[in-house]
Amino acid sequence: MAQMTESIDDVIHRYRDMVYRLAFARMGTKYDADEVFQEVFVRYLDKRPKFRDEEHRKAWMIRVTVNCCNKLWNSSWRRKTEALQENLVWETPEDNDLYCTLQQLPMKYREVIHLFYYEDMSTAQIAKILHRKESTVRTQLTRARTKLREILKEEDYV
Amino acid sequence: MFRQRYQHMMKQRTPDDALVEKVLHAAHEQEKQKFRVARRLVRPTAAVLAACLGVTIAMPALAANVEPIYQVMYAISPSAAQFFMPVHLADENNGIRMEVESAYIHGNIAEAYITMQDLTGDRVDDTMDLNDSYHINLPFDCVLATCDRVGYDEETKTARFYILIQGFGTGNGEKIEGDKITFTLGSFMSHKKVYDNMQIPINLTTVESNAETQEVELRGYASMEDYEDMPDTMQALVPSTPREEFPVEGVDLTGIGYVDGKLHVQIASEPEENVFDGNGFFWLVKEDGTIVECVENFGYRIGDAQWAETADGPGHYDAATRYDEYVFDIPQDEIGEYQLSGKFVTSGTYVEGNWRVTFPLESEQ
Repeated sequence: MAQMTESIDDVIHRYRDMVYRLAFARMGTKYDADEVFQEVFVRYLDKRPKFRDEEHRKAWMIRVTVNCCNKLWNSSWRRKTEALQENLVWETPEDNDLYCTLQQLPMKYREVIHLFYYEDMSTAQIAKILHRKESTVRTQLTRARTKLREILKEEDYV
Repeated sequence: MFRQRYQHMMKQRTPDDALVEKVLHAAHEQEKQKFRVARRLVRPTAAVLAACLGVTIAMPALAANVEPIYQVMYAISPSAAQFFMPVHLADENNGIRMEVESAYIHGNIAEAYITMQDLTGDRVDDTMDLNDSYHINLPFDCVLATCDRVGYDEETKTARFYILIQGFGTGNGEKIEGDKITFTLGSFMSHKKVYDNMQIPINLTTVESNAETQEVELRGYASMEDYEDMPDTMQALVPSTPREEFPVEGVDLTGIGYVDGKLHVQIASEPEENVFDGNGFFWLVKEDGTIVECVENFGYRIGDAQWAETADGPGHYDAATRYDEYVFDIPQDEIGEYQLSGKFVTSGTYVEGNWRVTFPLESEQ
């Protein structure tokens, strides 16, 4: 089977925003997203994995980003530090409201929300990449939507 | 509508150019085989210092006007001691004084010595552990931060800790001086009890072949294999009545049995009791003395967990019973040749307070 080779610059530029946004969606702070972003590409540089196709590479990037988020969240280093206060700037008050609302959701819901609504992935694709049952992903998505409706108080919103 | 609104929000979040440049730079340097991002920092000097401090602290003073920490450092490494700058910034709370004694900033590395002294009792001792309750506020990206106890002075009831912080860009000389670090401590444990080399009197041939399990969400995980494939969930033993054969106070052995051909051993502790902070592990000893370590161990919570929001983070679960599970890859028909053994450390004293010291990152002029 043919394997893909591509310059590291191209890979970083192609996936920089996807990795960063998923990390931010999951962790909720720029500080943590920066850390995860670096760790993902450090792993890529260390391992230089070979991929069948671009979809395979994208799946690796998503999976490793989630793993790095898990690792950061569970690490003793994380427990022993405090993130600096962040003043995130958003274009509209609605963006800020939505961001604050999402922070009230558990992290595992936020990553599913992001992959579904931003990366336009199906629940089957999300389940495959995150190594979860599709029923688990559907349940998490449903619970996340329910919580968002409760918080946003807009029945048809989500 | 939600999709559009979510995408509008998330499109505003992109990595800073400087961050991307940093990663690209690391990639280019690695390709030139001149640079590799350090994943761990090994500092032999610090290790020697930590190992020797307990002995050298009892040595006669080198000079009347030389402070104890410098006496120690001069005794071990005169070249290292001369770089540490006195700081002497302190905070006192609950009858306990925390002081930043000295610091040494060089390149992207900050080193500091901090002491804790009980002014009213004996809550500080030579087993004191800052546990997970210390925080370091940093104004820069960091790849490593450690805090280790390196000595204890019985006469003054003072414990000494060594802090090492490394900014991002190892080997690349990105300096971190000119900023400030805030070291905060909210609690500590002391008067620890060590249950070392315990032989747990359980006949392993009698454990269940297909123990009842449940899916749990992991809070921590370690494996003999690469962490990259860390699962989100695992099949864990369903807890049962604590076994009386397990002697550790504050920790219960709540399950032992075979799951998918591997031996699982489960312990439980209550976080509110502040007795056990995860410092323990099991191993198996074969009849011929061979020691077999677990191939996996993982932690999880079961019980009435409460979702706790934090001021500067996305929140966490608190207060449910903590479980740790150890997995051994020994076939059941051979397990009779093995003895379950372990080492566990528990705490007799838990002290809460609020200690906070901010000190500048200034290198020697």
